[in-house]
Amino acid sequence: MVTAPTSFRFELDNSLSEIARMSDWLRGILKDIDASEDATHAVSLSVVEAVTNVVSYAFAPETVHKILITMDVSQEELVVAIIDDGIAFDPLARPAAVPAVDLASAEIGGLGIALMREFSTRIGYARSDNLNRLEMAFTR
Amino acid sequence: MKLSTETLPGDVTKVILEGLLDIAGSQEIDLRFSVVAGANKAVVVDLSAVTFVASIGIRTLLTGAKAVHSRGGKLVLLNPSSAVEKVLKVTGVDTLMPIFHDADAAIQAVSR
Repeated sequence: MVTAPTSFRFELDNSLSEIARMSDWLRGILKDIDASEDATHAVSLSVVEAVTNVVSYAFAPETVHKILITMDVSQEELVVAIIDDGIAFDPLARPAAVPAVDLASAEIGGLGIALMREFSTRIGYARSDNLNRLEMAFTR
Repeated sequence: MKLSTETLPGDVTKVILEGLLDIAGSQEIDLRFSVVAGANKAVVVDLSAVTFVASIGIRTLLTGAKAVHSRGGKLVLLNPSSAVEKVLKVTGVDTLMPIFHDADAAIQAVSR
């Protein structure tokens, strides 16, 4: 088991093709710290959803930006922050998606935020110094 | 991400997916899954070897289900792991693509 350091960080470009590299990094750490299977799934899913949103919607087309991921590990929990310099966007301010009643009217998309809310134990958003910071906590 | 198909009696098509249905996995199977969904009316998607589904993977499944449904057919999901099933239920898509844990029941559900 890894005892130190208890903080990790990772940077990726705002490209969907970077997300696989980020997922590998994340799964590697979760394995090293002996995170539970449930925690590994919850963190992997929630961070992928959050970063997919940032990459897809936060930046003007054809512009290159860095997205920073930090993970703080304590005895009880894992806290992941996703920090970007894209347009101000609070995903938590969006109304909850209304489940579709049938396939014909089902809208495809907008499911990621519901997953982040469900799989994290707490989630918060802050905007300061022109940076978005989305923080999610998970039981270890 | 692997995709293979089997034709079962009664003109039922079983789609077997294997791997991670994340961004990369979805990109790998999107086209082939669309082709299968666009050409069949009775589709059972076997998820037993899928270890991870993100919302983009649900998009792939839902797009296929819509294509099948629009031609009067039905697509159902078979044997997701508990983690994958939770993702499907949290997003509410289990009401649009019914989940089965029994292959015979899944086949019966899509058979006309």
